[in-house]
Amino acid sequence: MTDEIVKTSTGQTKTKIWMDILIFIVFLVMMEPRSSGLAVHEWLGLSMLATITVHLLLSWEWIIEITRRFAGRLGLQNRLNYILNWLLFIDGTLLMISGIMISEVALPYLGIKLPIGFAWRRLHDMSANIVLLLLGVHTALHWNWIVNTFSKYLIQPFKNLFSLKAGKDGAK
Amino acid sequence: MRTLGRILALGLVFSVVTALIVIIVNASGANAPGFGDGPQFRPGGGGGEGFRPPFDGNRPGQGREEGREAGEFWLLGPIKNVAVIGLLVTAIVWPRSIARKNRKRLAP
Repeated sequence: MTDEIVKTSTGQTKTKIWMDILIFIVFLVMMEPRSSGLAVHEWLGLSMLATITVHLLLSWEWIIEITRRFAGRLGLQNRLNYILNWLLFIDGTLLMISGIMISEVALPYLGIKLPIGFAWRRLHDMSANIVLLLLGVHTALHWNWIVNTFSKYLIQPFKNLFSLKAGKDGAK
Repeated sequence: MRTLGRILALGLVFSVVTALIVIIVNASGANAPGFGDGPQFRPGGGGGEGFRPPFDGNRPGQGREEGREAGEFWLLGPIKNVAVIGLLVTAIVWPRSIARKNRKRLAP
């Protein structure tokens, strides 16, 4: 969908797909703090700030272009996608802030003490569930891009590698 | 330099959203001890450090309180989350794909 509005370079698209795979895997690990442990959960959560920043920087042209066009003529899908991305950003911020507020490992390790708030844990749980749903819709709206990019940059090179190998073996 | 400017712009938006969230949560009174039916303030607990509700994973009703060991079923959670995302993707992408095929078939 991004490519419909803004053309991105091959290198940028490759970085984006690897970044998205990384974010998805980290998100899955983070959604199960009981399995990963609280320390891993919290440090991964803080590291997500950097990965999400890179994800947004890679989509910067699209964000600016849609922000400019939003009040004027814009396709329904791009409009929906833009609104959904804002919701995801706000909910993701709530998830991160509530996580920082209830931190038991990372922030005390850094010597930071925050005032205790009784709502933050509930907000953290609630926003995590909402992020999961929004991520599902986000993935669905980018499904064509994901399938095309996966096929072009991950599956096809892999296939070519094997067909090359098979060709060489056949020549022998 | 351009990237740095963009990072600063993102940081600014992030700070504004964060400030709004903190203001709304504090103004709603939801952070006060005894709000709702959640864990109550434990007097004298923690030598003035206050009371943090115990860490119990992401969702209540799952995990140790049901007698489930984290080590045994650690894959169930990620599988469930992937299933939720997969269901949403299927529910959105499939009808659209069918509609597109029908449109193509009906087109003269």
